[in-house]
Amino acid sequence: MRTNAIKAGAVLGAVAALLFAGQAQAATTISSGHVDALAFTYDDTANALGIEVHDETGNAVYDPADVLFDVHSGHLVNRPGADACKFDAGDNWVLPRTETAGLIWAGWSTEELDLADFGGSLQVELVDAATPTGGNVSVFDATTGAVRFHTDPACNASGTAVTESHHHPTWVFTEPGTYALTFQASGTHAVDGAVTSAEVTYTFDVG
Amino acid sequence: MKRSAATAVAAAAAVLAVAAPSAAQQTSFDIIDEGHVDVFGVAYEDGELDLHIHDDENGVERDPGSTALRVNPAARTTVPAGYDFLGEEGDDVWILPDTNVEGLLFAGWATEEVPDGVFVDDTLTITVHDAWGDVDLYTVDDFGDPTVLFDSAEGPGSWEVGTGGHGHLNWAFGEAGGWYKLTVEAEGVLEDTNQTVSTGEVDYWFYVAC
Repeated sequence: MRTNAIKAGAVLGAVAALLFAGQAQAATTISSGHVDALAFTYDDTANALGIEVHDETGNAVYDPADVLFDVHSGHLVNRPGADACKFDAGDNWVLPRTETAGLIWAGWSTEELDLADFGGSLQVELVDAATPTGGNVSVFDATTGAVRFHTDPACNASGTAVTESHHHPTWVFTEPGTYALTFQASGTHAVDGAVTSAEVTYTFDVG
Repeated sequence: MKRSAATAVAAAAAVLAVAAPSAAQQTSFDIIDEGHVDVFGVAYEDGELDLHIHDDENGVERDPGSTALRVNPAARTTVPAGYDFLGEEGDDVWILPDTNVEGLLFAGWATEEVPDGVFVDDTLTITVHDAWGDVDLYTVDDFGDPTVLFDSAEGPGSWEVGTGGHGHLNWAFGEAGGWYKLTVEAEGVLEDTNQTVSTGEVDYWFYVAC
């Protein structure tokens, strides 16, 4: 069931990517620096969860649909062996978990809202993923080995509980090409009840 | 592990018991247990290197000798595969990670108060000489491969840091319910005179809560 859902999602994601390509000239390209790619916001008047891109280095806020993440060749890392659900043997394009000059340092943050109002956690789902042939995306915590998001349903990481105020995992793209990743956040607000964000799609140009 | 935790705890308790009367007119230990803290904060002022704690959570500098860095129970986890230096896979271990986790200390080092151009290669060396109990300090790369900087079972551990820098470590403790003392020194070689300047050995106090 999950497999089917993801595959259907991949098709939708691909369509979304094509639509996006038509308005690519409006996009802001991010190719390096500190960026909270998934910055979660909450409007308690409207009881609405939002997901924004906070470019901490450029000191700007963007709608994810308006950003192109340029995962250029500086991110290329060759690994002698594979680690299941994390990286492939050979070429991988990696967004590092620690700040590295010239590379994208991508994370998430809940600093714009009070996580305690949501019982200390938001559930974030990777609802759609369009990837190049054979390509996968793994978002994982190197210190614990926990895989937070993965585009392959077999890795059983289509979503994660975000409990951190600010966090930078490792992002690995296993093939060059264009990736469209669609995320959605949900939570239960202590006063206003259940709330779910819109689906937001991120585009990564890898290689 | 060089000493059993029980021995370390007993020793710590003894020291505190002895120290308490003479310290009666001083302030007692301040306890910090969450937020961003540069534990090994190095400054260079008036020709001297100084080690202190930058408590960014509260916006103050603290004296290592009167600060208890508390490792909260939520730090409890298990040894991952491939981390043999921490113990057997699956064993309990208490880790302050190098990422910011709500409710835990986010602990690192900083040399932002050391200007460039003063020390050879703009580099300082941090050394942990000794620790009570089972302590490991390490970094982890993007793929989960650790680099061990200090392992109490292996003796002193040193690593180089750039001046004007800042970084985070993973701090692993083998047992809960006890005090750990880390004896730490930072040093560098002056560009002008080729003389080595050191902070001397400074004791840091961690308490791992049950």
